[in-house]
Amino acid sequence: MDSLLTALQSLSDPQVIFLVIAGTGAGILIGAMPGLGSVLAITLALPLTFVLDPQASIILLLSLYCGSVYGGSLSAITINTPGTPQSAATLLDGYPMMVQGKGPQAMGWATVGSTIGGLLSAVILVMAAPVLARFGLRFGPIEYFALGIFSLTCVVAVSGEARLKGLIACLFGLLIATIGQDPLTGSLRLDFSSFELSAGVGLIPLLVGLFALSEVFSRLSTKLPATLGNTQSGFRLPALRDLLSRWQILLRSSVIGTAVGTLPGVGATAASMISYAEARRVSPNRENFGKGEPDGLLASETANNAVTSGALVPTLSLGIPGDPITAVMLGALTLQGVTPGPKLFTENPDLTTFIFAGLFFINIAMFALGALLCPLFSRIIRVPEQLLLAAVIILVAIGTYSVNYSAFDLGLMLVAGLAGFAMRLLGFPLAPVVIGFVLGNMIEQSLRQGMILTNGNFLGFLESPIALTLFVLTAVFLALPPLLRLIKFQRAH
Amino acid sequence: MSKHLSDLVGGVIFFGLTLLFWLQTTGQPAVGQDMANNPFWYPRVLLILMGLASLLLIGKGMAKRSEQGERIKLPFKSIRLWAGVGLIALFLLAFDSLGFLPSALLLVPLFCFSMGYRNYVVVAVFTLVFVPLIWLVFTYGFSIRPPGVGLDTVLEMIAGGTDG
Repeated sequence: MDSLLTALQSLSDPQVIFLVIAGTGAGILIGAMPGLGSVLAITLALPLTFVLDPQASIILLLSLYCGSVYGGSLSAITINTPGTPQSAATLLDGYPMMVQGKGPQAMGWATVGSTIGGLLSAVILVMAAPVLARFGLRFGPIEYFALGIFSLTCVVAVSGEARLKGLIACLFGLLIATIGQDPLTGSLRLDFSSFELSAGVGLIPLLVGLFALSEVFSRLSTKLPATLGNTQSGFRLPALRDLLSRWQILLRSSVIGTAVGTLPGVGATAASMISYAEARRVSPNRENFGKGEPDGLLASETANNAVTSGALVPTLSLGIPGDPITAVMLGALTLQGVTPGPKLFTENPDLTTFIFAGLFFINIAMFALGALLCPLFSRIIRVPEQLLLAAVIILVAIGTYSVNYSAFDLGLMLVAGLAGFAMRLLGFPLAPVVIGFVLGNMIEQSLRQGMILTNGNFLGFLESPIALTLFVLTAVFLALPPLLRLIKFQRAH
Repeated sequence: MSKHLSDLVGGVIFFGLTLLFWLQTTGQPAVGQDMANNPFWYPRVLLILMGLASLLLIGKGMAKRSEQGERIKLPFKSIRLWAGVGLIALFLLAFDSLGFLPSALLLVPLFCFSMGYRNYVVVAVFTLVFVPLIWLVFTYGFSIRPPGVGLDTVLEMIAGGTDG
């Protein structure tokens, strides 16, 4: 109760209120710009977390996260292009509604669905995260090593056809994390005789380069449109009766979104697609899906915003990020001296309660901003892309430089940007690099500590029931795709 | 370029990186004799796995190189891309030496014009509002003074010139 009062007191701080409004607003705008997305929104703000305290940093990043996921619906509805991949299912019914002259209603359904999805999943987070954290207290180095490997396997396994490329990208991320001082002996390694690299590769130049700058290069390599077409849209709240009659869709989509969000590597795009398909399966109006049916729009938007809290369950309770967004948040918190994991709940209950309460606050702010400023946002996304990209370049440069006042970091960011661009071109996924990099230190330390505990006997790792279960799950994840392919092949022949 | 050729190219690049990093682990003094205390043991395991995975990718690309599959369009002939990369590299170089304000005030118009946006008024207004605004936010909002001459110094110089 004391923690809740402290959290509410912190949330009433003018700086926090400003960060929630500014972060959510900026998130909606960035999310609405086709192709920019949630990861870019978070990476742009990452350097700013250095001048903010942990609470202010996390509330800014969460505001940007929630805002950007919702913002994707704006362009999906108004210009038939999802601002973020998470809103891909939204345009299936959102844009037809816009064409039918029901754009304001579509925005109303999307805003209400996103808000309810965010709020319901925050409730699930409040209930699930402490339980998982209590279970996580049983974890030692061996269990953490097994959990880290399991998470990386999940991230690689969902890289689609590019599983081998995902594995290489993941190993590359783990390798970059080893550059600099060895965490156990303090010896220097893989530093290429560079003084700057002896401290290791900075999280911020790497992430900003890999995601934000490579996105700029990627957009430069395609034809830039002068401006977007007609993007004007209003806002109209759905009638309460219509909303209440769809309570099952709201509840089901929230549960799907939260559950999918907790799984490493799956993400909001899959959640919204699954939720859309499920809503279509059970809806009495299923023949109207794809033609402007509010049920479809509601299912997609509720689920993708429910993922935001779902993804935080393993991140906060076990310190394991499920996607690049939560990986960035985990990195930002670690840089602030806060280590997410089971002990966070016992050692820093005020911060965890603040995060829980903050998510409710952010979702309410998102609803208010969406309802009030939706027509304004839909006009702003007409900003010419050239101006937008120039602004992104300036923001990433000044943000990255500000962290250490280092020109080397700017060079590192450029190299990471070019590497990220090359990887995109060659079909290598970027998410495994980031998650590998963020988890690298934990995996190495837990592996080596585990080896000390077992006197270098790898079989000793299997004596822990939790680790054994996780290793078996990892093996299943690895073996399942080739097995399914083999069965399919045998059936075909 | 076909998707299979991209596998081959990607595999070769990552195999090259594996060799480059491996060279960094050789000839190092042994700190710990057992695996847990040897700082190079874990990176070497990663390098072996990355090398094997890269070789597998090369093999996959070689085996299917004659197949007609999905094609990837490489933008190496895009002048806009190279101009953009060059401008960004120059901007980052000038950022520390020339300072934030001059380099950013030059970048925005040059970038927009080279990317084909020719609305001079919009570019001028955007540059003169956005760049100083970012300087103000960082200097006074976050107490982080960007490198080089600041807006305050410029204003003082202008005021000094007017007084004189």
